[in-house]
Amino acid sequence: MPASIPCVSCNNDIPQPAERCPHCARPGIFWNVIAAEDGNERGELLNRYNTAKTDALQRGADKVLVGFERAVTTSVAVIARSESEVLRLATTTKQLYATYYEQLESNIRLPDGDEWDVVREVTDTVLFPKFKKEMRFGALSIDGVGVRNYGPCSMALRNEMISHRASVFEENSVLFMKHKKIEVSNPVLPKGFRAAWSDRAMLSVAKLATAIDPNLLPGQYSKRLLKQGASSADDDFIEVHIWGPISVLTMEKVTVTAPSSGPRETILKAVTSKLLKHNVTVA
Amino acid sequence: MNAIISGRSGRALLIDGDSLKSFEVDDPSTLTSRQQEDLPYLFGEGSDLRILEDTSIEDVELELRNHCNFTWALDLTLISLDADVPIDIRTESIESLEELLETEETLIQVENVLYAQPLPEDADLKGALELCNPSARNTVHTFLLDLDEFQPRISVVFHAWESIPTKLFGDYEARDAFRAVAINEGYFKMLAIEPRSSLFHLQLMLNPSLSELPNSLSILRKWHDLSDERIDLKHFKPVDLGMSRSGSYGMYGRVINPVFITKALRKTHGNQARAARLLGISPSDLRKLLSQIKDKKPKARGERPKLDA
Repeated sequence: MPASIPCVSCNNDIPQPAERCPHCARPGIFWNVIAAEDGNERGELLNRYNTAKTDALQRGADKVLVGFERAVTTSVAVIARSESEVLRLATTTKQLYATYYEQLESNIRLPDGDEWDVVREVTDTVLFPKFKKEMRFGALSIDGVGVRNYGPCSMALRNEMISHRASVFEENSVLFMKHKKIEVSNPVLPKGFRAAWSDRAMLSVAKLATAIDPNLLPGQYSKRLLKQGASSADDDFIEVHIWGPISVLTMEKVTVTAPSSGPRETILKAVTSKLLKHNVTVA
Repeated sequence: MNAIISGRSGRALLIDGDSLKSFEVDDPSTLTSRQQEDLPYLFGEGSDLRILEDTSIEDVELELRNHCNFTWALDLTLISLDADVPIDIRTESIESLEELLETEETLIQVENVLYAQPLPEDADLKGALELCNPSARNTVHTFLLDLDEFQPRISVVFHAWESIPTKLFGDYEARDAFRAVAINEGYFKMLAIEPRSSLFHLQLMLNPSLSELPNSLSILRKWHDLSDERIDLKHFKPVDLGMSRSGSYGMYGRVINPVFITKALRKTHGNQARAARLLGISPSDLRKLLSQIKDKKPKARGERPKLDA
């Protein structure tokens, strides 16, 4: 990822992680997308994609792969969360909720001590981000259901609200770094494993073509793209990185994947009424 | 063992050496092994995380249950106050809330948050009170009545807090940290409901997390003095000033802090019409307020309790 880019308007340098040009204030800079659109990055991805297509052709799986690729072009970004978290997101524009939820923002930092080392590196850079605080993490999904292990409410986001600020990544980025033996403190990533939103089908084909056999049915594409594991260790998905906030107006559909009871059931009813008022489908 | 809990996600992460395990509030006996890669997803944006150090699994379970009950109770309270939510769901929220608020700890936690800031104008407290069933157990009814009654004082304490200069804290980050502790420990509520005796309690309750913050005593003294210096609230009730917004219990949010009046007049070079506009009130209301401030006799400083008294 470049440390700075020239402004398309005034041509002066915009340093990372500025969201707008510091000189002419032109807005709309999303660094995750800039990184994914890098020429070398896309070139490597194209190589992987072409290799995958050739392999599928040799195995007689090329037609199925075309069907799979077409299905992924309609895929959505999904974030799985609890009922309370969806309520918070669904009410960010309402003063009543925003007033009091704001008071719960803990802004904590991990205490000193070796006992926290196992989570410190990851949490410092991802969970408790500094400039990375703008990133939201989701999964690519064909059927609108996200990774169930992380929450009973799958929020599918509207394409038009994220396509300009979203990018996709081969797999869970922390897991990827483990697989590739990359240090979080010095994340030099190999090229060809991330893509802009418009290239998400290309990345999916590059990653999953070898798992597409000639007998795969269209109804099975969804499970091939996002594999729900018995535990999170068995989950496999393409990670979506979304720059910036999410509100009820970003959502298109919420799928409830587990029944709620007690207070959560009532909260879910309120969430549902809020979502429907904003034309968000609830399934 | 250390732990991270989140009431909003209903989940706890146990950290024991290199071992990471999590459990859900509904099923604490099932421990799920976790890896580092799960962390970005376990707590979402992690806005309500709490850290527990050197703890036991039993304590984590208890803390998570308490944190969840508090989170749900706050959600249900806000839903009950939300006029945009259908009546049947608001009523159901109040019923669910009744059970949660019977636990005193949960009630205190919710009040600590709700007493830290005046209800915004879109809160329908009157409607929520009407939905309470007075013949049933009335914890929620009492809780909402108290919330209504203390709105003027809540507003005074809130504006007093806002008036404390940030330089006293050091910077905005320190100010936010102080505020988080003050809410969590119930300082806002205490100043709102016990304006006269609270200083003594503040001193007693000065806990390590607060006393470790720079200038804590000076800040508390300043905050208390500013809360105490407010002109008697009866002069400021919007009803008295003809500023009532029919049916809205959020009207007490219109209580005006004299410091803001002074600031507004200074900013507008004494132009009352512009100052009134800045304050969001009519020029005639501003004139009434100014005459009330003028009539109010200042207290002798010796009358005020002191932190070190």
